[in-house]
Formats: sequence, structure tokens, C-alpha cells
Amino acid sequence: MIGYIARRLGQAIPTLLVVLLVGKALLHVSGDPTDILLPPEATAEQRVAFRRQHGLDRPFAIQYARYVLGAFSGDLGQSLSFNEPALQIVIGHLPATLKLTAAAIAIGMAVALPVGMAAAVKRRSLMNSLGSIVVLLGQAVPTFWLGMMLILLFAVRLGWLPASGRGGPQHFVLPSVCLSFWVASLFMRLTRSSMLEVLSQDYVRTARAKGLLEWAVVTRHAFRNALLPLVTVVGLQFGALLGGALVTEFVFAWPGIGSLLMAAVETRDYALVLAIIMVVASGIIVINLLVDLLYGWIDPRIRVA
Amino acid sequence: MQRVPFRAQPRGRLLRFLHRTPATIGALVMIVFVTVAAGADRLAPYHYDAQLLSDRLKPPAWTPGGSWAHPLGSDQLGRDILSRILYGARVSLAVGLLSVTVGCAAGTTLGLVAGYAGGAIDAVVSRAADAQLSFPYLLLAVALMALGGRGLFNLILVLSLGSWVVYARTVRAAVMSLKTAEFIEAARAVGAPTWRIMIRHILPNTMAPLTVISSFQFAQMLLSEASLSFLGLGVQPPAPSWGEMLGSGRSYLTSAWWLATLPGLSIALVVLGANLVGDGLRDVFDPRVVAD
Repeated sequence: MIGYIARRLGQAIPTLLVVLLVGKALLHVSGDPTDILLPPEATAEQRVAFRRQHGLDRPFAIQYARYVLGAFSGDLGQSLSFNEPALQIVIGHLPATLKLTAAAIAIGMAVALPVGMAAAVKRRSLMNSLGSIVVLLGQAVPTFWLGMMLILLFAVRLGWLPASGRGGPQHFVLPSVCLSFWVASLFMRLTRSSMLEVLSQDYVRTARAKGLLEWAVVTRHAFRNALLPLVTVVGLQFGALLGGALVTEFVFAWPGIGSLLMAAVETRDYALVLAIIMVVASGIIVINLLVDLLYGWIDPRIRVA
Repeated sequence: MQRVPFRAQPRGRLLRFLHRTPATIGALVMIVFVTVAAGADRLAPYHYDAQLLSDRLKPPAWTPGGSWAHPLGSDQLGRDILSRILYGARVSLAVGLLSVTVGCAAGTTLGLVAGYAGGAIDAVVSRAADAQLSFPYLLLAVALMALGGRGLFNLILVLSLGSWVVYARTVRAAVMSLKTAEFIEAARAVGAPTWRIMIRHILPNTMAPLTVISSFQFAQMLLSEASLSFLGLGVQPPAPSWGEMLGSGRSYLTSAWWLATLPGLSIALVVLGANLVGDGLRDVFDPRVVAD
């Protein structure tokens, strides 16, 4: 088990190195940060000193190697707009994003699982039609537009909830509902198709034949087996979810990683951009690993050796 | 026991496609938007960048204070919203189409080569695809647009980076299963060169899945372009794109609701249309998937 985890984490290192290389290379060709960061009236000596201080006078390979070595000891460079270690700033913004995505997943699942199950069990029902509409809309409506429409309705017209920012729990409602819509549509479709697949299996017929109540068949026999593809997709779609979180945060001025990234792009704080990319990439790798380990818990037949 | 009702299916793919109401609706929506995009300069009452400062922030015609001079209202610079949406269709659809084309060409080529050659090339392509799939695309796109510059060329490149993986994986899988087919062996036996086998014998057999993927990917590209333009990193003003219109309308959310409402509706409609067409095509090309 521990060996498996170590091997998986080891496989992730080349991926991270390539991500870093691409980021660093783009940074390198995008120009000299000295021109952006120093005032125009800075003297030539000041510029030289600045370049030396930040290692910008070294060849690209050396800069890259240094950055990689630093990354392994938890140093992702200095954010130039905050004047603090970039990693520290990213970690500071992480909880807000995690809270938002966790809430979106929770709300989305709470809606999607029962509706998806009902839609699969009763294929000619209102629930099924309703579910299909939510699925179609959830894939077509841009998250950021939905966010603005929610603000327009609940904050501007009705005045029930604050439009943006962070504070009490009321600030949390609109962003998490906005992001959960996409989650709900995704899971509804998956739950439904996964349940349809499972419900046609022989053991479901057996369970029915021995006289079990229908709800027991559906929840205990069918649903548990329909879970596996769902868990796979949670892992695969987590990246897309973070992308949705990025625009949601931007719309609602929610102070998470997404807002931080946009601010870093705006101020050309490229050390911070790279740090965000690295932290997110590492996070995704860990999540995928957790998902793989979760398989074993759901389906003991594929427990990893 | 579920009984599948027998329903006579019309022969011919086009007829079978049109037999499905949602697919037909989707196709109609797409035709309308493509027509609008093509004829934007004739249909639009104004040029997309014509500014009339005396007409700033006029509401749509059907609301109090609105007039038919600007049927869907005007923006903060006095530009006509209807005209900008019509021209925006041109920009959004063109960017979507171009990035799907580039992504499809790149992904298909890589998939063909990886599947046919196998070995080290296959390993590199597959690993790259895995790495990309595991990473949030939008985050990557934002970073790349910020670092690489905000031009139209870059935008299409970054967007197609988001779609090559699906093509590469599909084509690779198809090639792997076709490689040992008898007709391929026959082609090899008569001495056909490798490139000819790939292009003339294998590629045509992947056309059905590629067509289906392309319509879904087109929808995805539209959404990604809209997101990037919304964040100010995609299509740059004054060129109209629906995402960019939403982005600049955000600041006027409390005072001018129409700026942020109508372009979003257009995005949702086109994406819905493309997805419905994709569903229909999938049903037609792959009869094993029962339409439910």
C-alpha cells in the first residue's frame, strides 16, 4: 500500500517538472520582468543589481535548475507584488477555494443523486424530464453568466443576499449555488446512466425475485454498484471544477485561488502565477491518488496490492 | 424486464438524424446562428464599434425608456447591443471553428502516429495527454494567455490545446484496433507505404467518432473562449465577442441588466444547439447506444 502510494507520487514528478519547464520557458520569452518591476527612472546600476539579486542574469538552464531545487524545499520564489514568499500567499488563499468547491460538490450531489436515481428508476416520469433539462442547461449555460444572473436576481432585484465579497454565511450562498449547478448537471447525467446500467444486471433481477422491496433493491443493491463510475468522474472532473471555481470566484469577488490568479495576471506577478500552477497541479495529483484509493473501499475486488 | 418498443427507423443517416426532435432543434439553432454570423454586416443596424455617446446605456425597446433605435439597448459607449451580438456571433463561431480545426488536426495526427508507431512515441504522446487531462484547463489557459500574450493567434492556439487530447485518444484507440485488421494487412502486403495506409485506410474509419467529438468540442471551445474573453484574456476590445461583452457588462450589473443578460443567452443557445447536434450525431453513427 505505502509502496503503491510512493510509486504513484514518483510518477507525478516528471509531470510537475514539465509543467514547470513550460511555465518558466514562457516566462523567459515573455520578456524581462525588470522593466515591469522597477520604476522607469531606475538607473542602469539599479537594474543590474536587481537582475543579480533575483538571479535573472544567469542562463535559463541555471534559473530553471535553481527553481526546481527550490521547489523541492518548498520555495516557489518571491511574489513581487505582495513581497512575500509566493507559496505562502497561495496557501493562504487555498481554504476559500476549497470551501467553495466542497460546498458546490455537496449541494450538487445532494440534488443530483436522488434526481438521477429517480430518473433511472422511472424513465417516463416528470423527474426524468426535469433531470434531462437540468443536464442540458448545466452543460450549456456558462458558469460566470449564471453567477451574474444570480446576482441580478437575488442581490439586485430581491436584495436577499450580498452580491460579492466574503463575510458571514450569507456571502457563501450565491457562489456555491452557482458552482453547484454545473456539478449537479454532471452528476445527474452520470448517476442516471450508471443506474440504468446497473439496474439491468442479473443480481438486481435476483434481488427483486427474492421479494425485496423496490427501494431496498435500488438503494442497497443497485446504487452502491453505480457509485464506482461516479467516483472516477469526481477525480477526472476535479480540474474542470477548479476551472469553474476560477470564474465563479472572479464573478463574486471570492478571495480564493481564482481571484488570486487573476490579480497575479493583472499585476504581472509571474512568480505567483507559477506558484499557483504548481500548487494546483500537485493538489490534482494527490486528489487522483485519493480517488484511486477510494475505489478499493467502494469495490474491494479492485483493492490495490 | 424492460421492453424496448419497436419503432421503425428511417433509412439514411440524414433522415435518422432528423427523426430526432432535439437533434433537429439543435441543427436549426446552429443554422440560424451561422446565417447570422455570415450576414452580420447586412443584418446589423449599426457597425459593432459605432459609438453614439448621446445614446449611452439605453434599455431594450420593450422596457420603459427604450426605443426601437436600439432594439436590445445600448452599452456604456452607446454601441448597439443587437449589432454587437450579431457581429459577436461571427467572432465567437469563427474562433470556435478555427480552434476545433487546429485541435482536431493536431490531435488526429498525434493519435495516428502514436497508435501506428507505438513504442516511445506512443508513450510520450499518451503521457502528455494524461498530464494535460489531469490539469484544470482553464487555469492553464489563463496562465498561458497571460504569459504568452493576448492575441487572436495565441487564443486559438491555447484553445486548441484544450481539445487535441480527446482527438488523439480516440484516434489512437481506433488505430490500435484497426492495425491488425485484415484489410490493413492486405494493404501492407501489396506494398502500400505507411503514410498511405494511415491516411487512405485508417483515417476514413475514424471519421464517425471524429464528427461526433467535433460538435461537442465546438461547444466546449465556445464556452472556453467566452470564459477567457470574460476574464479579459480572450478576444480583445473593440472586437465584439459574447464573453467580452459579458465581461464589460459586469460593472453595470446593478444599473444596466441588459448588458450582461443578452450575450450570455446567445452563448447558452449556441452551446445547447451544438450539444444537441452532437447527441443526435452520436445516436445516428453509433446505433448501439440506445437513445434514452
